[in-house]
Amino acid sequence: MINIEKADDLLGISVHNILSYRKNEEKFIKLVNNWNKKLIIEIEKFYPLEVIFEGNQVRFKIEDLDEEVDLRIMMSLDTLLDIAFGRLNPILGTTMRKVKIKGMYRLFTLLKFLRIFVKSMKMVAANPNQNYYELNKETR
Amino acid sequence: MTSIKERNIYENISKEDVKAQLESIFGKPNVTEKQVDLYPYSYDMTESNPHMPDFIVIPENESQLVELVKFCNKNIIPIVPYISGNNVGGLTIPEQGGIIVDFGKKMNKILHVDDEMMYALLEPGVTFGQLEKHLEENFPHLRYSYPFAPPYAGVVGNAILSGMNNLSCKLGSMGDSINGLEVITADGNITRIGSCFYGKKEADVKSWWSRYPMPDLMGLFINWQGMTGLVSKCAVQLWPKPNFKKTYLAVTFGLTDVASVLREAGRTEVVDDISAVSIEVVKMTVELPEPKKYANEPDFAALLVISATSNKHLEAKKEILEKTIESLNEEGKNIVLADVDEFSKLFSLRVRCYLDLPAALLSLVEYSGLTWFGSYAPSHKLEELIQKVDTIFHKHDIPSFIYMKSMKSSHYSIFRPIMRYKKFTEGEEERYHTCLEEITDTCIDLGCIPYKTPTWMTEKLRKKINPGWLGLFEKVKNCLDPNNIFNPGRWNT
Repeated sequence: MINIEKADDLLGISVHNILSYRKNEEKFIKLVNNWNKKLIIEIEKFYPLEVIFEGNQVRFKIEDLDEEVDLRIMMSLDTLLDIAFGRLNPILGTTMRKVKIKGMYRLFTLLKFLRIFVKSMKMVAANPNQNYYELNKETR
Repeated sequence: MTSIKERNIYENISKEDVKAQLESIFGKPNVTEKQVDLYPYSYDMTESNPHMPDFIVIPENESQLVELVKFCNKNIIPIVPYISGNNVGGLTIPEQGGIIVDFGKKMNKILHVDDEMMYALLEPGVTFGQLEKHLEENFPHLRYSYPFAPPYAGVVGNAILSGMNNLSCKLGSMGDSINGLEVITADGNITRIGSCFYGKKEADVKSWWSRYPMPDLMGLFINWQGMTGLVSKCAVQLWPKPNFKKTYLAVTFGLTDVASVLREAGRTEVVDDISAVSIEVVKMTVELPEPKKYANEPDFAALLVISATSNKHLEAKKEILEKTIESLNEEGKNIVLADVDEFSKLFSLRVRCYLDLPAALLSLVEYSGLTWFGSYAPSHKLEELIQKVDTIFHKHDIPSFIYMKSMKSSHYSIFRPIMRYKKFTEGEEERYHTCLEEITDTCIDLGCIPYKTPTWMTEKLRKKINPGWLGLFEKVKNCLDPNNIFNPGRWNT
């Protein structure tokens, strides 16, 4: 089981929404469990969000960020939406400088990031209702 | 707060006789004086002082209302109109007791929708949800305009109190979209105002198509909070429903940058509606009831709705709007524009409640108490208003909740600081009221004009309004309601 902390900042809320979508999926659990990596996602004009994978926990930080992280990904909100809705391939995005990644040489980390984040984003974008009703159930 | 003027309504007639008369007019099942029935009508979500009514009546037709008004005028008994009690201003609290006329239960029919002349003729109890459903099922090519209010809120109440809806950037106040009214005045006459004024008998349902060009008597009843007569019918304009629609989300960084979005996007004349809320409100929507705003987060989120008759038309409007935001960014503003349909899927579909109106908004309904300073505001003062009100919210340790709208192509704005609180927790009403009073004083000093006003607010207004206006206001009220039976106490009458 994966435990995803509920965030209270805008980007954290979004990432929580995206990752929660697959939290009960066996393949996803295997990917995330004990990954033990730290990433920073930075959306232009917004602020950096640190996502920490530790054991079966996923946590978020927007203050006192770690100086050394495994990946730092930067893009605009438009680019994020283009990737989520399948209008832009993220790898192509890096060659077009629309997606900037620090730590790209950590190929396995990068590939796993794509399998965790990009796939989840695309799934939420394609069928967001699943999450919506799940949230409703929790609050009844 | 304003003290309530007590009046002994049984000086001229006994309570038993009033009851007997009401039962003869409305029928026994439609009259109640049981405390358990009266109690829900004695208060609302706000901190306005509660007061019990003496009777609730449920009318079915105008002739019952005529009889009621004649009887009450003769015996000087207050009449308070009520639809769903959903207003945020204590407007239906019977400050001096008397009879609450609950239109919501039986006088809630959509009498006619005129496809050719695009209007709907409504009884006072029709709700937004009812009208939306009726149009969707029978006239899908027509639309009305919906507020940030639950589906059970009343259409006529919203219109005659100059509410603002999701076409207000085009149309302005909903009061401007009324074609006609039927009103029962204190003498028991049924008065029809607007193009329906021809004829001695009941008006043809097809005659409610215009408000002008006769002298505009409608102003005697709009925004009077039921103090001048009982509205028994209202015709509201409808509009063609375009097939193409897109909603943008603009998030603004910097406390006051949103003000220029409201003004400049509004005056492009391509936007149906611009509504902006503090970023804290977006978080409230996803179940963070006491949200914190972090230093680098955006300050406001604005929804900008455009609609069009063809894809080409939509593309042209999109281009105009996107260029407007681009220009603002070039001038040094900090705005990010996104497609809200896409954004909401990744963020949380819960924010769709702001798009799919009418809707019960979690941010407005999750607490037992809700109060606000809802006002029409001068657009050029928005920056100052935001800054000062935000400071007051922080001073009182209350989450900043500011709601704004651009009205009628930015001719004016809506500025509404809102507070949710625990109504039944001791001390909370006083704490929030202190903050609201401070906000009220600040906003009135900057020229804001509150709507749907509680009496403590009109008391403040009266000290600022020019004596000529107040004199005329009193003359009109005395002339139309010499015995002060219609919603007495409102505007400190």
